[in-house]
Amino acid sequence: MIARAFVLLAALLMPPLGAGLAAIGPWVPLAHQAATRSEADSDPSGANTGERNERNMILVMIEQSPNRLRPGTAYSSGYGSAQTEAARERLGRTIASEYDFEFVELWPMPLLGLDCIVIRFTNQYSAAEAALIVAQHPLVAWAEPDDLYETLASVSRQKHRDDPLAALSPTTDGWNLPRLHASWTGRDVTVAIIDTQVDVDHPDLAGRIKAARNFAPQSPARPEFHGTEVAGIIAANAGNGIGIAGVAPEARILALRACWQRGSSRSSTCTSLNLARAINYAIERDAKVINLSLGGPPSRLLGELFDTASRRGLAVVAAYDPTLPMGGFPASHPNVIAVALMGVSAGRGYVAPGRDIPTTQPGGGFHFVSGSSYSAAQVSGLLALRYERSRNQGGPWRSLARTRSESREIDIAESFD
Amino acid sequence: MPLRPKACGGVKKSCWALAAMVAVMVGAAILPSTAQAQVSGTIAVQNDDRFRGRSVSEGEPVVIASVFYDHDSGVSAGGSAVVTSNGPDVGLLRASGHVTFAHKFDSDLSLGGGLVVQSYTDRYSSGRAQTFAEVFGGVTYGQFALHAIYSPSYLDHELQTLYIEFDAVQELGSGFRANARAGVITRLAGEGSFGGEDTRYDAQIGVTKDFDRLSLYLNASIAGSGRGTYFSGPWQGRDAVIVGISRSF
Repeated sequence: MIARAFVLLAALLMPPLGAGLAAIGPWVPLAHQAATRSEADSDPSGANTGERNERNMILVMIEQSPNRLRPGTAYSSGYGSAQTEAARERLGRTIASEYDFEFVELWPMPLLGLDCIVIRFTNQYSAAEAALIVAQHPLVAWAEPDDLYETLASVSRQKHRDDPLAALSPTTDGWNLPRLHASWTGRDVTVAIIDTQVDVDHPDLAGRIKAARNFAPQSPARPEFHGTEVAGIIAANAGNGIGIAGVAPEARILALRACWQRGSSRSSTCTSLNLARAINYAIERDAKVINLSLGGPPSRLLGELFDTASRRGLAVVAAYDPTLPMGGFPASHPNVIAVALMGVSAGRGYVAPGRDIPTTQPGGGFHFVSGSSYSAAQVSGLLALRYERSRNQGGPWRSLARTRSESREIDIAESFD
Repeated sequence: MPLRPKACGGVKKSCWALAAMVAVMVGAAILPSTAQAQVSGTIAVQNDDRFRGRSVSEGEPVVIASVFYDHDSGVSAGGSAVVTSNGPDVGLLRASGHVTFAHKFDSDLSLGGGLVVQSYTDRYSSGRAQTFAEVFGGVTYGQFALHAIYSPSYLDHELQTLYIEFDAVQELGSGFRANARAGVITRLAGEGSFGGEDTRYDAQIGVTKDFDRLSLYLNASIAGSGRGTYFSGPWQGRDAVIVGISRSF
């Protein structure tokens, strides 16, 4: 019967289908095309963080038409938007060609009811200018540059290998983590770490990784520093006789690589598009906490995703950068919990320890790190504990008590009383 | 009491309907994809064609071509044609056309309704060409959809029916998505029944793997209660596995 079906297909429809496909284009998956182009066009080790977007990409948003019943179609159709994706891609190509720009790919975002069209513009414009031009198109909801973001960490100071380092963490005593862990460990609370590649084989992270995905095609995925460090602070195993104990040692990690490490410099870069894809994935996979230890320019697309995450009951935590207005983005977004280094003067959110924090490093070892990236990670871990407590006892969990009303320091006893 | 065919059913009427459907499809295909409207479609081959759980191709494989024309106003028109080889040669089994309207309230919630006309040739399992119309309305919320579909002359018989259908689609990651559908048809008025009963249910559950524009799908389909088989041309199983491949364009 199957053979007969293929005979039918070949006899009746292959010639017109073949002609149609020839008109549509080659059979190379678009995602692969995009990845190939990105790898060819970008230089991860020399990524530019200045005002000019060297990758010449903008993100163009178009409202998706409503899902609808389409009678008489094939047996797997459902009500999703997959049937019309090819047409929406053609629309994206049409819009790009109207401005003599190049269509790169279509990314459907049912979560926001939008299609994100990635367009490469010509060198005569800045990213902001190109976005402004395309935003005038009547079908475009808005357009924005595919900006660059930086992780917020300073270099590590010294290395220790296979030492029991938990006692050296300022939060072990400062937040009395052993006492907290007697009641709450973040058991099965999903925390999405949107960062560089986490070393999923690190022994102190064994059993903690729920899933790992790579959204950064700019460089090959391999264990990288920043993501591994953040993961250890949030969820390293406790009581296993090695290394450290995370703030939420039984949380489950979604290790989502949206940033790439620039050579061996330990500094890391992300793009708006990579971040949007990872945040979208985290929301769809029902993460409870999203950790973003990074900062950069404001993005409406990322802001819309944070608002959606907030409406769905997620907590989004971001590192505060005191060198940028309002701590930079995403820390400045209203639905994001901003976290600064202890001792840094800042407007809102919290402060948490972030200097000389022992944590995991790629390859199975441990070292000390400093930066507001790690302050944010500490608070993400605390929120995982708060969620577990709320799951068992009820009550809100996305805010923490402060030591004084005007203080930004966290009152652990009050928060977990 | 078996379903009673309407006197007006016949091959001529069916041919006119088929011609109209083909005109809709050709028209949609040649219209330009302007900024305000999108033309899209799918072509699929699968091992059986089932309508609400019952085979209409006598269990034979079919090729299904569908075209849609979506306007920014929310209005959409489209048509589909199905060919099969359940006779001495390959030929048209059924064609359908629809006009729908849908309005999106937010990223999750949409309301919509429309009219669909289906026409079967004498290759249909009952061996009788027929044309009938249905109107529907419903709501989609995220990956869920619920529709009520009314027919004043179900399958061209003197029978008014209401079909309630629930659908769900869930992305599974890595290009996989699961789909499930359940429906129940009820006789509202007129003579006839569904195998001696006033209501009959059907359901399907399946998984699809997407490769860019190409999709492979596998579905388990069940229909009604009672014996494991029913007569429709040859004897057909109430339960069936549908496998297919489709390409969107």
